[in-house]
Amino acid sequence: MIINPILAKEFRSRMRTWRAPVTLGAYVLLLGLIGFAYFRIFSSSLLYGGYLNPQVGLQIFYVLGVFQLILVAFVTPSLTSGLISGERERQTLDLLLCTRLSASSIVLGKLLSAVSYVLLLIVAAVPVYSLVFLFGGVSPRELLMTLLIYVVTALTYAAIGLFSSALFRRTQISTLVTYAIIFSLVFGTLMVAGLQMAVSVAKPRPGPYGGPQLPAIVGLNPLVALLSVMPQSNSFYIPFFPISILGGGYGAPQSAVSAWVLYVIASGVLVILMVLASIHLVKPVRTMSLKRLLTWRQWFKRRGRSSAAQAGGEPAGGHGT
Amino acid sequence: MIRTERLTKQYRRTRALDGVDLNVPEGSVFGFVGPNGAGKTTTIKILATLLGPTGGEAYVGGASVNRNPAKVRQLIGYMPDFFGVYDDLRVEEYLDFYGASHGLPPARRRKTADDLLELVDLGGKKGEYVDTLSRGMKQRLCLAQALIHDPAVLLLDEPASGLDPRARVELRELVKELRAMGKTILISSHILAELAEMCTHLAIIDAGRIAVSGPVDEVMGRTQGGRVFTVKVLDDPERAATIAAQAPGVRSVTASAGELKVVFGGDDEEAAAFLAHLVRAGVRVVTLAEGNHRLEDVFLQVTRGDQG
Repeated sequence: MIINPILAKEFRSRMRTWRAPVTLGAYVLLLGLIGFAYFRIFSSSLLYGGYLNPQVGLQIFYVLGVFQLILVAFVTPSLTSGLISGERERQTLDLLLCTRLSASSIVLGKLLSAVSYVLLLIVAAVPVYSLVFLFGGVSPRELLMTLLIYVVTALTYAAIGLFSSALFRRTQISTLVTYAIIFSLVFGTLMVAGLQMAVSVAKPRPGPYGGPQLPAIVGLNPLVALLSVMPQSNSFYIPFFPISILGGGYGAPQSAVSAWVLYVIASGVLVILMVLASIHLVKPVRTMSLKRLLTWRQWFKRRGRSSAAQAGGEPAGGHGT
Repeated sequence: MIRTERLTKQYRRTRALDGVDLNVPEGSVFGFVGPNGAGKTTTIKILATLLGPTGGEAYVGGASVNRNPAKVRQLIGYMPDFFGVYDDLRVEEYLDFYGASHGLPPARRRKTADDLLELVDLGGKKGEYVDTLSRGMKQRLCLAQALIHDPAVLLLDEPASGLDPRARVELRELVKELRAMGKTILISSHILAELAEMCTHLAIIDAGRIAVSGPVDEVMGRTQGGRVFTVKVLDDPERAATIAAQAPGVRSVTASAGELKVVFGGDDEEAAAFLAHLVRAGVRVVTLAEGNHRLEDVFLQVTRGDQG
């Protein structure tokens, strides 16, 4: 298979700038610092007995997991919200469209290049998890599942940024809209879910584990999905981190299907829709435009009218438009 | 090689193209001239499959831009009036990227890129970042980009705009070379004189309609007999224009600051009568000169100078 030229070019231009290694370094450093800070907090409070408590490992895992998810959610859009609008602003899109590249290979090449960079960030941050394995308490499967949630989140948010950059001519607007959407996906869904649960408190529907059932909208929330693949634990207190309300621990709200399954399916559908819409928007001459649909509608109307005229013997009223 | 039939393009309010018929023979250098906003770029974009026409048809090498855009894209090399470059690439990488995008195998891309850089006189700039090139160099690089897949047809939209005189001369030489290579070249400009020396054919577009088109000699012949006088007057040029328009032999008059541009259809006898007519009517004429830019005359005659 020939490597997509767009992909090759995007890799080259991205890794050539000073921004790429700086972002990478800052990302790993930030995650490492957070992990280390919590390591110090926990080890001072729980480690005075002189033994390594797996509970500490678990707590660091939670903190790192949630923090990395938020990083992924907010770094990804910055990589994709200018993908297409940037080409338009730089006046290079027309030249691309005149080559043999199809709109779909342009869109997919750009999307993949951005997602690959986020993957690089995620992989580069894996060593930070050695802090967790110092204490144990987390299985490799659980670690891999959190990675899955990151990858799905990166892909979804990259696709949202891509679509926005194809829809809006200006990168600024596209970036603004992308962050608004992502903000409402990460925090808005939680607020709506919280409201729904507060309303239904009067007549609680029990979930499979006896706790109240989570509303379906949290299926879109990456935090809920992430916490659903992390090891369940007795509720514990993590400073500055009110995550236990989101589904950690027994007696917390549960959904009928595992939250992460819901999340992966919802994200998959979203990605496919966004990519298809972006491809459509990039095409210079749209074969399936709204205008053409309207023309068809008129054609059908005319046909309907003329057959009605034949049947009724007089022209049908022309107020249809 | 390029043919359009009753090509129309309707934007929301304005009609950019109104039944444009063009016929660009194979191997010709076809000058496409018109004032700004006349529809040149729109036509070229339709030919480059970047815009869909509202009505009519356009063919490049027999392939329809509507039904077979992929084939058209292989046949054309397109250089837009405004274009950007990826300034984080080196010159050779830039060409390599477009070569790859056209599906050329790596070995051939490298060879073609080298040849083209020689052709556009950028051979020494291979390793430079595109960012560091001057505007004229970027223009030539973009031309090399348009040639990377060896297209039979070149669409050059205002290639000379923003170039200094030396770069213009170089561009003209380049077009000659490309013509010798057997390419069909459609080249647009809003300045007729720019195209005068290099074109074999000419079409003048005005307000979305082709005013005149054909081989350069024929176009000139068709409008022969018409001359352009520049009349410098002391008084109100608007009033002088009204008076001038009443004289026999006058086709159109445009008034500007202290000056009239008169398109005149008569011979010398009538020209003298025209001057007498002006003077009799009390217009104080300072000078009356006949323009010698024949192409400019054509331009003035076929575009509607008396608008507004």
